[in-house]
Amino acid sequence: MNPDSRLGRLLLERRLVLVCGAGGTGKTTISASLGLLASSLGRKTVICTIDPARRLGHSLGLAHLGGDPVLVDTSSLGPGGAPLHAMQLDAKATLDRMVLELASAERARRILENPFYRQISSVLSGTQEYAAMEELFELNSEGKFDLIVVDTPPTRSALDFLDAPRRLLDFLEGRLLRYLLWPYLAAGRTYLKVFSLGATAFLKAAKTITGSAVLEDVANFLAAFEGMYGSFKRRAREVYSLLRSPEAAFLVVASPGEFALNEASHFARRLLEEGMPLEAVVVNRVAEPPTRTRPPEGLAEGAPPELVSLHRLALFLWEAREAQAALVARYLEWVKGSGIPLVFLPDLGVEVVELPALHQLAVHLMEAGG
Amino acid sequence: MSAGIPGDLAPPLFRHRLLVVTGKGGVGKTVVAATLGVAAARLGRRVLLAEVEERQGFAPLFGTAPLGYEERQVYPGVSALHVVPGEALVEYLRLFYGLPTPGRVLLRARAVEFATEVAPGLRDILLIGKVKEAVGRRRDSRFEYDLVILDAPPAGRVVPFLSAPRAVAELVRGGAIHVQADGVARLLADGSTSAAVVVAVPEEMPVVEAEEVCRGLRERVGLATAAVILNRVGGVRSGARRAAVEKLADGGGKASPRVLADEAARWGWRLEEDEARRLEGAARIARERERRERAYRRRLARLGSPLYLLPRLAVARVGGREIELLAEELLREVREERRRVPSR
Repeated sequence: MNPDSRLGRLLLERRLVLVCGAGGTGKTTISASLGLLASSLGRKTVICTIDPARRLGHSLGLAHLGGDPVLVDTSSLGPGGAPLHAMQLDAKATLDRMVLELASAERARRILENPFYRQISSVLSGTQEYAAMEELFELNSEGKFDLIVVDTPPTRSALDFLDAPRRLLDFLEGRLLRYLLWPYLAAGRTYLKVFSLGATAFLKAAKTITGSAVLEDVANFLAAFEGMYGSFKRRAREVYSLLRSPEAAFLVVASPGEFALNEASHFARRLLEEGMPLEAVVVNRVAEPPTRTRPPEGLAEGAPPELVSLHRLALFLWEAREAQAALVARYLEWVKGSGIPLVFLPDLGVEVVELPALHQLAVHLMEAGG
Repeated sequence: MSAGIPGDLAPPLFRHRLLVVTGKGGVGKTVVAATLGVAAARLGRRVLLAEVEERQGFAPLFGTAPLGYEERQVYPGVSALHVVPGEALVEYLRLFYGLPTPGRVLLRARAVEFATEVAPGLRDILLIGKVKEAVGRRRDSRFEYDLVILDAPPAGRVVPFLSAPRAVAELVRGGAIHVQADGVARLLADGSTSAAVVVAVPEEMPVVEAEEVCRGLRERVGLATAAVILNRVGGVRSGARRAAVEKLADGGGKASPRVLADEAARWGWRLEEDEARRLEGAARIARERERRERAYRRRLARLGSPLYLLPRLAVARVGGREIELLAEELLREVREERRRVPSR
């Protein structure tokens, strides 16, 4: 292994590594393997995932991940290294904890019992991402770990991870919402009659759609939440500046398919625009043909079946690589000129699930990353 | 069984009216959904493909311009639709309340923003609600589509997505949305109409997620799985794929690279010794893959739904030609299944 490689130094020097990309690209596996390598290099590491399907748990041989970091049994890798922890984010538990921390006991109770809050804390898009940011912030400020590896949430689009927390905050704080809901917020103060026609029509529409109980729940939630926006906002700002700091590093992972490559390209550009420290774009599971030139279209008549099979395999891998290379060139050509390493990981054909194989994958990544 | 109605003669999978396609991210859900659509069209079914993830996954597969909210034919017998929550809400309001007038565009936009971003789970209900509307839509006294295929969110999110109607029906204690949510929940739980198709590839985590999602859909949505599809089977082109990989298991890897290179040269393939060594490595991986594939097939078969296999293709971009090829393969698999398990 080569800890002096660019990516190796990253594991030794940074405090946060965020692994991003579309679903199914091997993000979770790469996060786990990076965490494993970092701990074997002597850094106290925690791997943080947000995955409802608990993939990381399987990768690390853990049956369940709870809200708290769990020590990973790394004895199969032999002695040495620093302890490795893994944790699964529980968005609802994280948000509940925040409410309890930021609000007075009475107000916290009202929020936690509010049906609207109960729904958004587990369902509304953006809460998982917000909770991930919060968890990241807490882990970082506790200072119990040298390195935090974050496997980002399986969002519809990788960009949601960056945008959702801000959207959620804008929304909760939004003047629009308050304006629209203020008859509910001001209920009892008999302001209803001075309502603008527009807002009345809106409320009529919204009420028809959702039923009035929902609007009341939302209004009660907002009333109870009053005074907490500042804290929430400050927290979000702190997380953003942490992500932009030289303590953080982003890795964008793609598989060699059109959708994942396109997503990776957008996400990488966006990170650069936001001034976030993008350190590598990884194309995972790339076909590796055994031959240097394209095998002939066919073999001579009468060739033995085993050879025919091998030839077909070689031709398949050649064609697969050609097709993949064309797509990579189309979507990621610009990365080559940007100074950011574009790293290719071969399709190992077998899955990386066991710890030694995960460790090996990270070593491979370090070497390929130069 | 009365003749002349294709639905009755079609294999059980294609007798459903709504198929919900899901699986771990990256396993090829959209390709499988399109394949199911083309296969069903080959059986004479009028098909609608619906996507809800704002990904425009179908358009490139059929080589068409990005889909809009209007249904458009993308293949003979197959239409496609891209459902977005805002449009779904506007249509819903128009249909049920005659609500937004053109002069109230801004207000309408606000109502849409509010309803789709805030009201819990409403976004999901609007999306599925549009699908429900397409399933129930009639034209000339019969259903406009025999089969609606939903390219659903991935396994990690599909259960919350599809259980939103139930949750909302409980949360919203009255009003039009309650009725709508309740209707959607009933449609999904009606086994004679709706079923899931769960897609996996022969790897550990996609198989684990397939197992989990089958259980989740059954227990929390009431949606049964009509078929499990194992995608990207074998490393060799369709046709001789299974035979070829089997043969690799007996033959390759025994000879020394030199012997293999000489043998290849004799049959017109110039192979250097180091290439031959790497080729044997690739063959070992293919054998290992095949071994695991068999294990995953056994596990997926235990889920109790028919298991169909689709081959791995050498192309990075799937287009119309590949979809047709996969559809033929799928129909072959479905027919084989019928021979193995006689239909009711």
